[in-house]
Amino acid sequence: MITTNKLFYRRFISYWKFQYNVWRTVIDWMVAIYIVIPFIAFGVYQYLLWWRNPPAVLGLIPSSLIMAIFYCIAWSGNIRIFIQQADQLFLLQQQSWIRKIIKLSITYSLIWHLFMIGFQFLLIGPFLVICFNFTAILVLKLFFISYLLGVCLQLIKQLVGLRIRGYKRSVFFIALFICAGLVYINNALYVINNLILFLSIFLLLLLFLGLLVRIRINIKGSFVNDVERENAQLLKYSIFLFKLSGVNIEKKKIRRKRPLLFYNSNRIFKKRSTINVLVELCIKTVLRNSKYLLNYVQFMILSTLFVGSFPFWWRLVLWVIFSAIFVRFVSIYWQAVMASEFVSLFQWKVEDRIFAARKALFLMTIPGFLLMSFVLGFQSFSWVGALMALLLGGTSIYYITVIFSYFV
Amino acid sequence: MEVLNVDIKYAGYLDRSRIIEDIYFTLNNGEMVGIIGPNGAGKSTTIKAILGLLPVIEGDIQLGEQNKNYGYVPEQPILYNELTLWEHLEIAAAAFQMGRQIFMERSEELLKKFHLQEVKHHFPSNFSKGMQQKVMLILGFLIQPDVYIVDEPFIGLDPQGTKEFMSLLNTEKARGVGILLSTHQLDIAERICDSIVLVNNGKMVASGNIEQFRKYCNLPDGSLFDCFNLILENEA
Repeated sequence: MITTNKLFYRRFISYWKFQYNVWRTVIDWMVAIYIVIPFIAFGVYQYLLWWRNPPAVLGLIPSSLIMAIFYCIAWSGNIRIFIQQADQLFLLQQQSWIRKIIKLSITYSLIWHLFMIGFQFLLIGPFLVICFNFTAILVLKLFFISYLLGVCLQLIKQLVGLRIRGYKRSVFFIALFICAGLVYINNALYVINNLILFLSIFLLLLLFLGLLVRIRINIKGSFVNDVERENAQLLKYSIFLFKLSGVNIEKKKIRRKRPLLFYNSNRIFKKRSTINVLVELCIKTVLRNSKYLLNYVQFMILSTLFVGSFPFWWRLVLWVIFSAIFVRFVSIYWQAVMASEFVSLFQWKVEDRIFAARKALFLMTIPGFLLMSFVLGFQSFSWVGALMALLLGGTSIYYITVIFSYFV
Repeated sequence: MEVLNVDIKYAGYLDRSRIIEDIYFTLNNGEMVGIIGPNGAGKSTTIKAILGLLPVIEGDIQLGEQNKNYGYVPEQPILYNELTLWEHLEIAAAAFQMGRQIFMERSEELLKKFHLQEVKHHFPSNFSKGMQQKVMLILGFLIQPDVYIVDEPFIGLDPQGTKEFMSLLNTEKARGVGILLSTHQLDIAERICDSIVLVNNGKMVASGNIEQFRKYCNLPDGSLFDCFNLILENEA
């Protein structure tokens, strides 16, 4: 007779079997023997070499950047709830079963996250121990603080996601990301170097985690959202592989009846040429898609923090490189728009596509890159630097988008 | 004058190249041809072949003169998540470089006809199936093409919508447009189609107008539904 434990175990095995089969479609025995295994072997060899002699240039990376990387590792991931669509037929009526499955799912997620963070800490281990002179105890302390913070953030994100939708959720997540990030990056090193503070924070986070888990288990009305999240998680890697091979997968529906921005389908450009309409389509898509918008803002913030953490000359070189990377990043949105099923229903002239791409890439890159340039220019040469960076940034983006428009 | 000439020896996919075979018919100016058949007969596959969506096709599809454009109304609505209904129309107008004045007049008229003026600034991805179907019909009618290829348009349409759609089809026919319509609704097909192509198991089993069908089936007062069932029974 089936029990909740057996049911959970069956779903757990089924999930991993599915993911194995997804990757199996890409990695057959030939790819495994000639690419994957040699790559892993080389990686292990290189890793062991780093323990003896890590690259000196990595010692130049500021500690705040390393902390930012740990923070991003902690932020990523999610708490799985192994609920399925079909559960609404019978299982949903058995509340004790649902609660048990949720408990087991959270336990699995906490253990999984422990291993994932542990693995990533192990990878960065050589740099922490040898370049930054961390002792093993300090590494462990940082690991536990990062782990507890990470799982707490994931539970908060999930709980908030169950109650708030749309732009309010995005605003909350951005605020949480920035605030928690600033607190962690600026204080984590201080905390782990102070035993009493570390133990206090550790216990506090542990208690907070317990509270969040309790709230999550008892929350009502989460079934539909849990199923949606689970389906997204199940198909995450298949969608990624499909996209790599150019296949467009259907996106999530917007729940609002009407858009917040351009409420009355307002025009961006007065002149209704084919080029302007295509550019408008791309801009509206990004502004109305919370995921795209969040990615854009995250990319802009992380790029600014990354480039800004380097000394002047490195900063200048990276700023130039990032101008091209930014345009390339934005071009992904353009390509997604032009490859969409609806847009593909119509025939578009090649010259219209090229000029529209140029205009769209320019207009969409400019806000983020100019903001980034302003911050970096100000950091380097105060107001004069900021103004120069704006001028040079705008000009460089213009010429880069002209080049990119022929390739997207 | 012919606006569409279909002569398919066989067509299909790489692993199954003969999903449909021996399908041939013509569509003239101001004519409506209905493709009918049971589920899985090959109606939608025939339409896909005409649209050039099948990787394997042996035969000939002539879409009138060189510059003829066609309006395709798919069975499943194809919508853009982040655009409002009005913005969908703007995209279609831009693709066909429609003049602003003409676009405004036609789109307002079509929205009024299909009772979608109140939701023109709403996201159609949130509409009911029937409303989404209406959006696809409006997109098709907006550009006023020379040929319409319509796949199962009545599914999900309310009676008012069906009436409006049929009225628009008649208006377009009067304009001299050719219409190819795939449908399960035999009573409607009987009323509005000038000729019928009956497809079963991927093959064309009969074609002609309703009178020819009645003569073929020896049912002088029979409906298309009666003829359809008799022919399929004989096929079986």
